[in-house]
Amino acid sequence: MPDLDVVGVFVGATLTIFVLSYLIGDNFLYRLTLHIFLGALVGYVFGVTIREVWGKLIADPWREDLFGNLVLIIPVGIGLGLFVFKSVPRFAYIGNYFLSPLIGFGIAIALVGALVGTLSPQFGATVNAISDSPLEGIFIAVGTVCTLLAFDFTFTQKRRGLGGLLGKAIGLAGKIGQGFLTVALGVAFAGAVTAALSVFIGRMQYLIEAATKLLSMFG
Amino acid sequence: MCGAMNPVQNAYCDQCNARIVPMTAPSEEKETEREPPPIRGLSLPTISLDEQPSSTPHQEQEAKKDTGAWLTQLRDSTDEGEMETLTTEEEEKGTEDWLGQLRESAEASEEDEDWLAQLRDSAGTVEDVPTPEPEVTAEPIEPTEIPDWLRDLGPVGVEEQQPSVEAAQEPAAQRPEAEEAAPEMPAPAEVPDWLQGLATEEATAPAAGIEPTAQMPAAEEAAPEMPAPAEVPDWLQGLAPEEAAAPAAGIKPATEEAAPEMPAPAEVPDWLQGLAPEEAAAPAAGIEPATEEVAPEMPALAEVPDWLQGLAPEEAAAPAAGIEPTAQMPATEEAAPEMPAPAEVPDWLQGLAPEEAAAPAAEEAAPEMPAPAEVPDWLQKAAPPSMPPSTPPFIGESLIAETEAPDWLAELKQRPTPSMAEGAIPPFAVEPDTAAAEAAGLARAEIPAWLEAMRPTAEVAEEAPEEEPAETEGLLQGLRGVLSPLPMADVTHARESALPAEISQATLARAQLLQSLLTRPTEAPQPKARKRAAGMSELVPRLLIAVVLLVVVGGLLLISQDPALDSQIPSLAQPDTSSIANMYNLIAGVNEGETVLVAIEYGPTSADELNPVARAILEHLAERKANISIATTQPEGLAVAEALRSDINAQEQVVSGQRPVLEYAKEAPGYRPGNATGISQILASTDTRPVMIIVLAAQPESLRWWIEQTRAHYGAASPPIAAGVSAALEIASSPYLDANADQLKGIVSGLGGAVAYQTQRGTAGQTPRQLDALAAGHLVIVVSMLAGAVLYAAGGLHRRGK
Repeated sequence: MPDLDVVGVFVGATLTIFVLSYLIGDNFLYRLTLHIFLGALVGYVFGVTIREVWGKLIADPWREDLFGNLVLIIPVGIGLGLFVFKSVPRFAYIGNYFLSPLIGFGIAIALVGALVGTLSPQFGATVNAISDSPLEGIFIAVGTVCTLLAFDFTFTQKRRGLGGLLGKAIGLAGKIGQGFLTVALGVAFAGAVTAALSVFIGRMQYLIEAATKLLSMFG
Repeated sequence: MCGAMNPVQNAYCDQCNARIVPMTAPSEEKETEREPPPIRGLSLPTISLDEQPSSTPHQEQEAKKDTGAWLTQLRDSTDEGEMETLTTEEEEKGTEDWLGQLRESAEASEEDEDWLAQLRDSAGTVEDVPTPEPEVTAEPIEPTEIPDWLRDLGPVGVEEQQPSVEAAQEPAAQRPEAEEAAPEMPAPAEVPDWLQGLATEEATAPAAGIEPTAQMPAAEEAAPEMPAPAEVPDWLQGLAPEEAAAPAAGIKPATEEAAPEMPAPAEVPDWLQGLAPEEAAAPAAGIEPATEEVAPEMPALAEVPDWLQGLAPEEAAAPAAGIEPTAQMPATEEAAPEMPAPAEVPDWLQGLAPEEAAAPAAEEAAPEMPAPAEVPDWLQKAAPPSMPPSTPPFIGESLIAETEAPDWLAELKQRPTPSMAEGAIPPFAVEPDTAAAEAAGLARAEIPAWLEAMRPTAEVAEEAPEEEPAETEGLLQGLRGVLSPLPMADVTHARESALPAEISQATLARAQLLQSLLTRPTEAPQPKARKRAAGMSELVPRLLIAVVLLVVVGGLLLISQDPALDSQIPSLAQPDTSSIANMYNLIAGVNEGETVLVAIEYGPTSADELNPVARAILEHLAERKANISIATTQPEGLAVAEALRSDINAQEQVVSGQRPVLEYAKEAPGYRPGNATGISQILASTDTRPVMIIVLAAQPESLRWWIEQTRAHYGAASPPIAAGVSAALEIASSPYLDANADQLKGIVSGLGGAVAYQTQRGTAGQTPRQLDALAAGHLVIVVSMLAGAVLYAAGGLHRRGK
């Protein structure tokens, strides 16, 4: 009886090759591998959700103290309402009523977190940067402002008088901001390429280890 | 209809409320067609545009009817009167004679009429009545030549204007109407003497039993507005006293509004002067004045034909019997100022004038009398003795045959006319006998169109019944033109459906197509995925790059499999341990048993990159014997965590016991769905405060959510946050990693960071070769990019060169 790990490595290596077959274009092996991956992922997510959400968050508390945790009927009802009504297109609009609290609460939590965790600390960091290192702070401030003005499409229009001068200044700042954006996007692209290359290296390392195992098993 | 006379402007009868004015208006075309050629021999008055009555077609038609009525009455009266015996020859011969007789008879009648003297006596008792000033000419009008036969209609109207008993007893509040009417009255040119004398006597001649009231001052106000009289013939001057005495009890005065529209007469022919004395005495007791409509619309007369001159003396001879001074008479004092002063008064009128002025009743006629200059008053009030009540006085038929009479009137004399009682409209001969007139040496004059339009015609009489049928029942029984029939108003035609008997195939096909379109479910069109076949120009570079990468990366990785070969080949890149120093120091500061919350926010797709990072961090945490609490918001995060634990514990050093076994905390939050909400719930559900939070994320959102919610949950004193992220997140995490922000204490980024971390810990193993493979891969990619750019530029230059 073959080792399950060897089977798993073999299957994994095979599917990895099928995915790399995309080098020659879209093909059946690539699609087959993609569908297998998605199917396994959905099945795994469903199982994890049942276990982690229904089992640990709902069933276990009710098993311990049903009446003490009746408040959990609310999330259960919301979940069931979404499942029932959203699955029927004719009554899908009713499911929106169950979806609305989730969206409302999510937006509220995300908005508070954005204000407290990102906007305010980053504003303070920029101010501190200017005070601690004026050159670096000015550079950060100019880069931030110019980057924001790069997305302005109103003042840069042709005007006369003071408005025209202001538009030209904003247009110039926008050009500087486009330079900052270009550098930032270049760095992001480099990071994406590095991440992809790291994945490729990981897959190559997996294939080499799988081949080593298979060769050692057969040889 | 009750037959009562009403003012012109009345649309409904004051007595019976029946409609007088027909509902339908005659067309203008018919009126224009009816205009006959002007008749010479008559000098008709001219009326200025301002004085022209603004009569509507209805009123004109009414006037025609009225004219026909009084003409009919005229024929009836003349048939029955004394004028019946006169012939035209006698009239031609002895006009002067009978005029003289008329004067004598008038004088005789004046002597017999004691009541006039009584009236004068009674009028003289009132001394406080202000004397009107006839010389006042508020709106003087030049006297024109007006035929007296038409002018005689004026006195008729004046008679109608005599106040009735009801009018005399009206409250003073209603009297100002007379004052309002006075300014519009035309100003006669010359006032005859008898009128002047009459005016003075009228001022001192209130009626018996009438006391001066508040009404009387109205006359004072109206006096200044009285027009100046024109020339009154002598016979009118003589006739005037008798005329003034003529009004009888019960005679209704004409409307005060009629006076202003009366034209100013100019000259009165001689025959009227002779006729005047007899007609002046004509008003009888109980005689109703002529229709009020006649007076306002009566034109100014210039010349009176001879036939009217002959008629005048006999009419003037009609006695006014039974007239007694009543309470009505003082009311005329108010109208006295409105009385126009005639210019030329005939002698016989002059003789009558003193007696007339003595009669209080004359004051009634005087105020409302139009402004006749040469019109004899006896004509204005004259009526045949036999004239029935409520019919206008008119001249005798025999006089119509005079040479100067219009032919259409002369023809009236010859034609028998049905009586008004029979309800038939008399046929009028509108064609004048111009030959007879020309033989008499008379030239045919021009009749104004407005006057001609008033001439009664047989067409109107015949057409009216046909157009307007009489009402047969109800209060309107017998009236014509009151209700306009609408025979077709409510008739509705039911529209029948026009559906075809057979439906064609084409129609059926169109209906089916429409039905199919309507029943088709509304689905957005799905764009078809177009298969894109890679061309050789794309496939070759792609395969070339893939092969190069496979060779370079695979070769470097294979080298690491052989230790002998690996030692001979130098490393292409050295790990930067400074970038991971903060992370290493943080984890190194974790004591045994302290809880470190590790958030695994990546899946199998990023495992090949992040697993080395996670492995290095977890091995360090396991070495520090920290209580590792796994949390994730992604379902596959737990699988990744379990795979990491298996890989780490499967290592030979772990199995041999050289390294500690990796264990996760049992009370770990685990998976919580909801992204930011799930993170907030994870942080809220942890019983113990973690000393450190390590976020292993492949997407920037996951890192941001953890940073934000940690700050939001713990505030400024939040536990330090470190991150092991993909190389793609390095630039996104740099703002949080900034020293001023101090939100992210340390970071391990990508495969390079993992190699550096393991190098820092001294457990690198084979990972440096992966870093070499990464560096080699970067080199291949950069070369490929440069090669592609050069080739693309060369291709562009080549195409430009072509």
